Amino acid sequence: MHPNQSKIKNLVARGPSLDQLHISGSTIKSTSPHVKIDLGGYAKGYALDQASRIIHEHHIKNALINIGGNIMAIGQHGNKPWRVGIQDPRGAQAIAKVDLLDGWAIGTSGDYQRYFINDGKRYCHLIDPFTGYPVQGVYSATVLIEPSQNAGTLSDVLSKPLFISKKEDRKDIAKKLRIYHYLIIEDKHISMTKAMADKIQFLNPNTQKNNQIEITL
Amino acid sequence: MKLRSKFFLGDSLIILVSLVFIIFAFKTFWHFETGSVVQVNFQGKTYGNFSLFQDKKISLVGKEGESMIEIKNGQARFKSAPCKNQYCVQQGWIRFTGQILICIPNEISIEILGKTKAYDSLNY
Repeated sequence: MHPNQSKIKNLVARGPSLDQLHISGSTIKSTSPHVKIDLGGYAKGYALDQASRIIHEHHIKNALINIGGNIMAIGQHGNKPWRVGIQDPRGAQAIAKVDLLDGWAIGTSGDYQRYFINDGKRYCHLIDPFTGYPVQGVYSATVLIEPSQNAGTLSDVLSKPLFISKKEDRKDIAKKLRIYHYLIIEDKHISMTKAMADKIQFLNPNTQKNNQIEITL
Repeated sequence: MKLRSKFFLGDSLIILVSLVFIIFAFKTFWHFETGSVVQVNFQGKTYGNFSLFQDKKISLVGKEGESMIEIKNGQARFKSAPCKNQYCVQQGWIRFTGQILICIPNEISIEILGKTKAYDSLNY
């Protein structure tokens, strides 16, 4: 079984876009009948912000919220910061750890949780809107988001454009979307911002040996 | 008389400094960290790691016969042993990291380990 190429081409040609959505109050309108809404890249992060709000309302000082892998820290763990492991996209364990300070959130998009393999080719759940095909080659994109009203939502939303983007566009997209901390893992290649490199620690010394590490500003 | 009072001053200083040091050392080095996992070693190999937060009985049959390990309420113990002395059974429950019970005749030891994870939660 292979996807029908011309069908995919037609779907991409319809060009559904968020720009075609018009939101006023609780009403959403679309100027294109081809737009469908899926909250998959949004809901978990939004839920983080809601959970954080509820926890603050109950005057709980310290908590770590994990909603389907997206995590937000409130306060700390005893006298140490909350510590979060980042899943190794091609391993059974965490590849790195990071201290998540009060109000910070972390989110990852990857090709290793929801995917299938057909004829040796991996089909992950994140579709590149420009090609209509699943993103190829990128294992995972992780973003670390500084405290704000919607840090949880941003931790969910902002990992997607980085995951989908071409290698050469990443820096510009991160700059445009104000993503200061990101980590992208590919085959034998790990790229991250300097700010991210200062925050994370790899758990296995071989990770640095077996991968080319690229630090961007 | 003068000499004695001088001795007393020096002695009390030493005692004071020692006390401060002992209190400092206690606070710094004496940790009662409750464990989360018990490691069971049997015949020179690790038989398995088991969470302390479950009710579980583990039966191991060694050279002497059957030893029974019990896990309950975040603690572990030898519930019964086939050996003569019953030292391992008499030591009762262990729950703090680093505590260990050893049954030499039957080649079994159990040790409390701390949190084995390097982090609190996993991002994926």
